[in-house]
Amino acid sequence: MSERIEDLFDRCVDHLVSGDDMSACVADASDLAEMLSPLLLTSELVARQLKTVEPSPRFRLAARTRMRSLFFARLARKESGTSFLSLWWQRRWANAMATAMVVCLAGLGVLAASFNALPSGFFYPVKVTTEEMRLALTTSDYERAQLRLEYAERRLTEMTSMADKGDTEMAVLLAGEVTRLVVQLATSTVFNLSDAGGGQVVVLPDSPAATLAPIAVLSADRAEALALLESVLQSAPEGLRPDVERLMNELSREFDTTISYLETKTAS
Amino acid sequence: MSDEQQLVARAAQGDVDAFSKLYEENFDRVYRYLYVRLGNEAESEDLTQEVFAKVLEVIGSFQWRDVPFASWLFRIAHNKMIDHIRREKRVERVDSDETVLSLDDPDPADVAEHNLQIERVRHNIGKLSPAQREVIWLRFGAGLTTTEVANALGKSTGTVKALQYNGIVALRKLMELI
Repeated sequence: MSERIEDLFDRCVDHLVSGDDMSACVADASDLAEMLSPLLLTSELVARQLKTVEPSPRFRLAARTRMRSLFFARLARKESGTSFLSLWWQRRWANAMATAMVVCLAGLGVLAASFNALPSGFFYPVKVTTEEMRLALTTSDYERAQLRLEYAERRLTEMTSMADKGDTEMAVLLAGEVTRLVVQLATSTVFNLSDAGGGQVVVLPDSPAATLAPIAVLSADRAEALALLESVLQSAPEGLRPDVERLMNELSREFDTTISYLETKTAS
Repeated sequence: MSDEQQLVARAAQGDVDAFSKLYEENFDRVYRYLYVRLGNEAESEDLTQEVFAKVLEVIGSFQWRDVPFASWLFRIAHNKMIDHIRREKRVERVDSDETVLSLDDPDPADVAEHNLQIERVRHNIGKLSPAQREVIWLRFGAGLTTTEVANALGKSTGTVKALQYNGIVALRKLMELI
């Protein structure tokens, strides 16, 4: 009896989890239906409540962008054989160290020295952490938008430099960072774009060869970021329009340059 | 080879469409599983990304051995969460100040009421035994099948069914006390 009621209850939960009507599961077990009824009500309540928990559109889109960057960075890294995740984890540790360094070295000129640092440089984590701290300390959405526009431009310059140095993986990751910043920008209340989080995941031309994939993802990032910036521009406050337009121009130019570097590398 | 096996095999070989499909199919439920356990939006978001980054790193070594992909995925999610809790050295939180609800009507009063209801459910699930809690989270939060839960936890399906049944019985009593 005990085992049977657990099996029957499990079948009912199957119905519940897949969104079907639960009454059918007890139709052929009328002797147990009365006993199960209150438990099914509780199960329904629990399932209904938990189902309402969903990731925010902002996070969903940002996570897709990051995942896409990681995916293609992994493909790019396959040839060199080093774990692409080392960058991810190195950065986590580097950020913690950099926070301590920012606190200790503020005033010694190191922050200024880190301004032009590239991702391969020792002071790069200081640069990124300083940016994050500035964002965290900024309370105005308008000023945050200004900072993100500025940071996106920096990432673009770094992306081109890294591609020029032959570091395809880092270039792809930086392209993802640019898109992430643009997504964050587009979801800012300053622009009031309610549908900015509804984009599709990876939309890429057919390019199964791993060597072509970075170029494909850069093209997709370029198109996605530009489309978002078009929307941002249309609803941007007057004071931010020149910055948005400048970023759009920079974005087109830097992505084109980066893609051309990678094409040259692929051809050779 | 089943459709899912083919999908995983393609994803492991670097097929972006296959990986995207696995990602889209599982993203929400991994997030929901983590959020229901942690009750914190920012932490759940970070861990969700870490889970999928880990999946991407090790999917090439995934072997079927009759273990469904979802069981493998949620083992990773479970381990990430345990690592996180140990790292934070804290008791699992039962309250939250974050909002992650998908409501059509964003009326603040409705959102607050809804949050409260979810927190009540989370709070009561938190009072179950660890094994019952895990089964309820995976079954009702992540929507896994009994077989997937059993494989994820390394238990028999019979044990999972018993834990599920007894967990809901206990939960009903706890909710009646409110």
